[in-house]
Amino acid sequence: MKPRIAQLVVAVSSHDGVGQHAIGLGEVFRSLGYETNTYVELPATNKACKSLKDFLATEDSNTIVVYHHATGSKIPDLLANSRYKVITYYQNVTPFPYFHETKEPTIREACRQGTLQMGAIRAISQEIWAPSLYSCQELRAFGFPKVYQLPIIKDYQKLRQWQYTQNPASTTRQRLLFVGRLVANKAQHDLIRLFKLYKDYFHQDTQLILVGSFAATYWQDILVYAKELNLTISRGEDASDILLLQDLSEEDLAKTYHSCQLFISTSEHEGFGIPLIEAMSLGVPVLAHPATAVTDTVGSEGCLHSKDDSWGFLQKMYEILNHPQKSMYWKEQGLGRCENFSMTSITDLYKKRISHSIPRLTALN
Amino acid sequence: METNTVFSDEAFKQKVLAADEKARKLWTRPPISVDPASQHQQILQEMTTNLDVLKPLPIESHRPLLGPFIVALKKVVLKLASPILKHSLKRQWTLNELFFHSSFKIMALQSQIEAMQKEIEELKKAQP
Repeated sequence: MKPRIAQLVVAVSSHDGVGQHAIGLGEVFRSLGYETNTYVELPATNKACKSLKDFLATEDSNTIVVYHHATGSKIPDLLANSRYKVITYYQNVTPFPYFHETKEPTIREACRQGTLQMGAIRAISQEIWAPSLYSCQELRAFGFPKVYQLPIIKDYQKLRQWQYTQNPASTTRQRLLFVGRLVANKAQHDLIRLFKLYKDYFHQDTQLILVGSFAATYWQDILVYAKELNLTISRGEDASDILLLQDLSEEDLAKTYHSCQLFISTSEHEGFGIPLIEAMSLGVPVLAHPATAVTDTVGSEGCLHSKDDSWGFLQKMYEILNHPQKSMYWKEQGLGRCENFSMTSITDLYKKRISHSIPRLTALN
Repeated sequence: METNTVFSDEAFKQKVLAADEKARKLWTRPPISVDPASQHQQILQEMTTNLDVLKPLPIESHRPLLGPFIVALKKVVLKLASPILKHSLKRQWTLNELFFHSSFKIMALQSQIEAMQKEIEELKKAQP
């Protein structure tokens, strides 16, 4: 008889990669005939999820737990005092020094706890899965013995159903895009600096579009910085130099990708990099600073250049934005890379892993 | 304009880099700080790495001329001794793993006890 699978996650929301991955993984388990439920630590916003109290009330020690770790949580402590067999999916924890001590104390403390809990996670987990080579290497450095690389489950093809026709009146305008929360580790301030240089010295009619939530106070610093650089920044006014967009529907997100000529990332810390693959799958060339998991998510099919070398980075930007053959080259490279992240490839990897791991864990005493 | 023309102009490059420097200075958010907790992380990492006593040690010597001979000798001695050491190291490895797992379970229990104590105190205070 197949064991039940319980997925434990801190939170699930519509724009959150961790929660959405848990929902996708649940579907893979169900397709293999496993009964599964997802339990959340914070009050559930998704009707399909239950609370941690329900978990303790309904699941016995024969249930196999898949815990998704991305921040400090009470789940590792809860599991340490139980007999559950645990697989941890390590989504990666942002290093806490990225967050301001007085301005962002809550998120800083959550990330600090998340890192300190790595020892406990090693103690409770029979197996660890992680989405990127970078995260796998980090886990091995922590001394985790059984680490397997499995990408985040997401159907990138879905975004392709929406197409966008560019307005002929705006064809001289060059649009640059970055998608990701406005937080210090994603270093949007570096992106704004490079954008300013490009706009002032290479192509005046350029716009930067930043898509992502503004939860952290970092974005207030961004507003001040943009003002200091004489750039207009707004939440929706298309005429501004920097356009901030939040809570986009999948359709609007796809349209935004299609409206841009280049996806740029100056992020310093990523556990995986969903927007990089989204951009590539929609044929938007990617130029990125090679840091953490960005390097292995993009592979050699994205243009990687260190942001510390501003002149070199600007040169790459200029080439892609002004030479159609360069743009086409990176577009085709990106589309090729996305084959590795097709829904079929990803689910096959999971099915293979699950067919090995679950029987092994079930057999453990 | 061709990329080569734009990017081979040294005066233009210096002008852009000067503007870059100015823009960098305008970003006033303090640089990433390092506090004792990150040292804790380092300690944790070292501890977990050192737990694996079965991992071969790096063999090295810092003596300028004799160095390579010392390294070769150490390698031979280690290879000869490895069948004897292997058994003891395996026992030590098992013990380390058990200790490691138990210590974290104790830490988790400790935090639960503290939370319960806090709850009891609050209940006591709430009583008339």
